[in-house]
Amino acid sequence: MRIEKIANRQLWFLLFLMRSTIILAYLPVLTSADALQDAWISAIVTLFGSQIFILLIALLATKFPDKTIIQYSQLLLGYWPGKLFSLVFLWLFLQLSVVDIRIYSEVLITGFLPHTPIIFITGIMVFAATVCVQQGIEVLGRIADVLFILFVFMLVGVVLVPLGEFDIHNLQPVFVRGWGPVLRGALTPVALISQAWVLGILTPATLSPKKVIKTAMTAEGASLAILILVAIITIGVLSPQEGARATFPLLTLIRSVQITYFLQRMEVLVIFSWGFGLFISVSTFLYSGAKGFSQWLKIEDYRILLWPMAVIWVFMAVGGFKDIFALNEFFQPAIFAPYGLALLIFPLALLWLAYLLRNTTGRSKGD
Amino acid sequence: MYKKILVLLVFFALLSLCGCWDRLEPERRAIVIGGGFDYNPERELYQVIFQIVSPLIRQGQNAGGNEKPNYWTVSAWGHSLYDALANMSKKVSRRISFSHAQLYVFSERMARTKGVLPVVNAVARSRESRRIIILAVAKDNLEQMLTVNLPIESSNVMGLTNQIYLTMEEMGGTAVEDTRDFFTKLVQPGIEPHVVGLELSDKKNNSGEDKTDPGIEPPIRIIGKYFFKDDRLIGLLNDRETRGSNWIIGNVRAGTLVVKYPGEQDVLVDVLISRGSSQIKPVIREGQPLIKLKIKVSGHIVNITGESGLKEESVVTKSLNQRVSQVVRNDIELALKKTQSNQCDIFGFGFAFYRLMYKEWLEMEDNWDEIFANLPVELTIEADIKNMGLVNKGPDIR
Repeated sequence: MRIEKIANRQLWFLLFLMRSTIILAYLPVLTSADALQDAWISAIVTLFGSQIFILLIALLATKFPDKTIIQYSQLLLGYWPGKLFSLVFLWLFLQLSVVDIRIYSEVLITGFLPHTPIIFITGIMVFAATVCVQQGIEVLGRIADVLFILFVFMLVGVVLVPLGEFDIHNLQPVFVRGWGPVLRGALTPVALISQAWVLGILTPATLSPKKVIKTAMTAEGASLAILILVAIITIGVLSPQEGARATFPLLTLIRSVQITYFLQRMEVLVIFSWGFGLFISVSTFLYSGAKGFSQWLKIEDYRILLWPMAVIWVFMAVGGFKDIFALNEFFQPAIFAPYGLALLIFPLALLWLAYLLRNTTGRSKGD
Repeated sequence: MYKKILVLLVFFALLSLCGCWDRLEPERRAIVIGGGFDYNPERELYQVIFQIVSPLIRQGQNAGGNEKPNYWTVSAWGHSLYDALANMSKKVSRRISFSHAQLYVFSERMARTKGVLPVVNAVARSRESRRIIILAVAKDNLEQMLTVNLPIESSNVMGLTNQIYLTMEEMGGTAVEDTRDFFTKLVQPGIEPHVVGLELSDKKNNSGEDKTDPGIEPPIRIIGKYFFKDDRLIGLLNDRETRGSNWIIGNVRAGTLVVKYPGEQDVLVDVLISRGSSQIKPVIREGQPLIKLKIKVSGHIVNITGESGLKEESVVTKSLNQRVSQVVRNDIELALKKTQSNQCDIFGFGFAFYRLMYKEWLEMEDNWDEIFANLPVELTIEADIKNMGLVNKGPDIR
C-alpha cells in the first residue's frame, strides 16, 4: 500500500483550523464561566496551560515517529491493556467532533435555517468530510492549504469590522476579582486541548515527525493569539455581560455592528470561516478515528470503516444531545473541565510513566 | 459509464440546489423598516405598529402624483409581543420580516409603566432583528407619528432615522442609541441608558416662535433625550440639557453656540463647534467621592452680526473663548441638575468609579443613586476658537 504523507506545514494548518474553530464558535473563555472582562486574561492562561499539554503529547508522539498512538500504547502498556486503553482515544475523537458538528448545526438552525431538520445539516457536513477523508490524508492536507488562506482572510475581516465600535472602557476594571474567575474561565478551553490527541495519529503521517513538537506548539500559539484578540474585541464591543450572555458571542458581535449603512450584515465572514474550519476539524477527527480504529482491528485500509463510522457520527451528533441546553450543560466548567482534563491528564500520565519505566528498566534487561 | 452517471448526478444536483430549505422569496415577504410599541397598563395589552415598505412603488413613480403611499403602517394588540405579532399576521398578506428594521419607537406610556425590556430583549434573541436598530421614545401619539407624511421623505421611518442621525452629527442635540448601546448601559454598573425623544409638532398647540414655519411644517421634532433607570423611563432632558449631557460624555461632534461679542451691545458671534471631548476622572477626596470633569471644546467663527472683527490673539479672542466655555458650562450645569435631582446617572460617573477605583466602588455600589444625587463635579472647560472664516473683520461701512 502506498504510504500517504502530509507536510508539516499542512499539519500546522490542520491544527490551527481545528483549534480556532471551536474557539470562534463558543468563545468558551467568556461564555463558560464568570471571567467577564477578564476573559482575555483567561485566554492567556489558556495559552500557557495548553502549551504544556501540547508539548507533552507531541513529545510522546515524536518518541515513536513511525507509530500511531494506538500502536505505541499497546507497545508501552502491553497488548490487551494497550488495546483497551486506546479505545479512550477513539471515543475522544468521536465525541469531540460530534460536539463540533452539533454546535455548528445549532448555529445554522438558530441563526439562519430554523425549519431545516438538524439531521439534514449534520448529514451534509459529515458527508462532505467523509468524501474528503476517503481521498486520503494528502487531500485533506491540500484542502487545509487552500482553506487556511480563506479562513485567515475572513478572520481578519471579523476582527476589523467591529473595531470602530470598540470601547476600551468595557475591558475595565482589569483583574480586580483575583485569580478565581480567570482560572474558571480558562478551565473549559484548556480541557478542550484534548483535541491535540489527534497528533498521536497524524504524527506518523507527516514528512518529518521529529519536527512535530515545533509545528504543534506554534499552531496552538497562533490560534490562541487569535482567541485573545477575539476575546478582547468581543468584550470591548458588546460589553462583558452581554458577550457572556450570548449563545454564540462572535455571531452576536458581528450582527451588532455596521460600518456604514451599506456595509452591514457581515455574518458571512463568521459563518463561512467557521464552516471551513469545521469541515477541516471534522475531517481530521474522522480520519484519526478511522485510522486508529483500523489499526485497532488490524485492518490494512481504514477506508472500509469510513462510511459506517460516518453514519455513527451523524447519529451521535443528532441524538447525543437532546437540545442546545444539553449542549451548554456539557460545556459547563463543572462538567466538561474534569472530563476533558481527565481525558488529558490520565492518559498522559499513564503513557509517560510506562515510557519512562520501559526506558529505565528495559535498558538494563538489554532490550 | 461511471462518468456518465456522475454527470447525470451533477445535473440532478443542480435541480435540488436552486435554493435553501427555508428560502422565502422577496415577493412573499413583508419587509418591516421600523416599528412602534405601546402598552396599555389597564388592560395589560401590548400594541405593535410596524411600518412595511410597499413593493408596488417603483423609483420615480411618486413624482407623477401617485396616490399610493410608499409604506403601509399596520398595528395589532396582544398579550405579549409575539401574540400581537400573530394577530398582525392575520391582517398582512405576506410573511413579516424584521431583518431590515432601522428604528423602534416606544410610547412614553410603555417606557414608563412597563419598561422597554420586553422589546429590546426580543431584538437580542431574534435571529432577524439586529442590535443596530436605533431606539427612540415618542412623547405623544405614536400611531400618528408613524403614519404622518414627512416632507421630502418617501417613508417616515427612514426620514426619522436620518433626522436623528443628522441632529446628532450637526448639533449634538440628541442621542443615537442603538440596541447594543442600550444593552451596554443596562448591564454595566454605574451607568444608565438614555434614548432620543420625539414629538409630533402640533400646529394648534404651538405658540410663539415655533409656529412660524413657512409652508408645511416638519411634523416630527426631536425634543432631546429621555433617561432611564434600568429599562424604565423616568424623565426627559430638553434641548439644552441634552447638549449639556452630551458635552459630559464627550459626544458633541458639532453644534452652534451663540455668544455676545465682547464689548459690543448687540453684536452676536456664531461659533460652530468642530470638536468636543471630555475626560471623566473619579477622585476620592477626604473620604468623599468627587468627579473631575475636563472638557475641551474647539470651533470656528461662522458669523459676526456686526462690523466688528478679529484677526490676531487679543483680549477679544480670550474673552470669546471664555464666553464659549461659559455657554458650555451652563448647559452642563443644567444637565447635571436635572439628572441629579432624578438620581439617574446617565453619564457613567459610577461606571468610572467601577472601572478605575473598584474597591471604593464596592462600598458605594448599593446606594450609588443617593451618592450621585449629591456628587460634586469639578468642571474644567478649555475652549479654543481655531479660525474665523474667509474674512477677518467686518466691512468698513462709510
